[in-house]
Amino acid sequence: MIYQLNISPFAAYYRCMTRSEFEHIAATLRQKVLKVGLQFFGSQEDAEDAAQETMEQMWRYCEQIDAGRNIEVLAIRVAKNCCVSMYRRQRTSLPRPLPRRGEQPQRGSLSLGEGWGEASSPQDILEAKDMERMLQEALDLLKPRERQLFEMRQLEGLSVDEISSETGIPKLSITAMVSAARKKVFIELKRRMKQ
Amino acid sequence: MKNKDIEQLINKYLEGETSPAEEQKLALELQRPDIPEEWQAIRLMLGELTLGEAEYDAILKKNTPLHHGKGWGWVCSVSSLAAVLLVGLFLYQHKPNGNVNEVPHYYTFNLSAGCTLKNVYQRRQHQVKTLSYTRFKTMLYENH
Repeated sequence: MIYQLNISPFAAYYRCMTRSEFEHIAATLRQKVLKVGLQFFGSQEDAEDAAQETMEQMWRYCEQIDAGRNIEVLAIRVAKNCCVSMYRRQRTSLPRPLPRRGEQPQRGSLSLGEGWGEASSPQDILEAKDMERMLQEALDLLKPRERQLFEMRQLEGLSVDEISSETGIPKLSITAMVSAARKKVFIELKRRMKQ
Repeated sequence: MKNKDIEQLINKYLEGETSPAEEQKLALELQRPDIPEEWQAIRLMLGELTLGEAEYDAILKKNTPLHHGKGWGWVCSVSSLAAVLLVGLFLYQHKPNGNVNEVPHYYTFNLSAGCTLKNVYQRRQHQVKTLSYTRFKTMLYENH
């Protein structure tokens, strides 16, 4: 299982968060993600591990996140992914491999489970990276507003009502723009997959 | 969920009409290994965060929370009740007798006898008739 979150396609359209801004909210954020882990594991130790993993991921990618967005929502979703990833590792009892020296995360992908002892063969990883590249190229075809709304649904998991109250865009317009964005991406992905 | 239902949900997703909960459900359904190729595109679009969130909720629902069984709430309730009863029993058994404003007997000596050396000497003189005040003071100094 490979977790990937595409962030960078949108990075050109908004002011990204700085490390210093992230550090400013890190303590509060950690408390919130710790609660997610506690609720899931019921154990302080596991919850601390999950929170640590989440904060590492958020730290690595904070400079690609829109500073104007609700980072807490994203952090909680990442925390949930980390919990699931940890849960699988515990069940398969496979150790987490150490990161290779000088290894840098690829810009544009938040890989939460890559190479983490789950069923990720080199072939799986290559395929996942290929798919991710295709998705990014498909997203490049979207208009900025379409991208923003697509992101709010995909990354933050916000409902149409929530997006409407946050952006001030009427619900019907949001539904129409999200639909247009999804159809464009779907058609492009299908075309690329057939090649 | 049957393939026909999944297809309907995919159409709803493409129309932008699915709720986040429906998208989570769809993400879980699309984890099957034998899905058509074009559904893989939808799986990719839904993103791993949606899938992760769906799996998180599914696991949590299955074992709430992971390290505690279903009877954990009962255990907590019974333990709390037992603690309250024990505290009540303890307080009942140690209830003071008589007037609560009455000064306990172990305080009366100090209050009546005072705290000066002379007071202590006068009290001891009642007990040991031969003890002189000078001797009494000498005994105290020798002890220090």
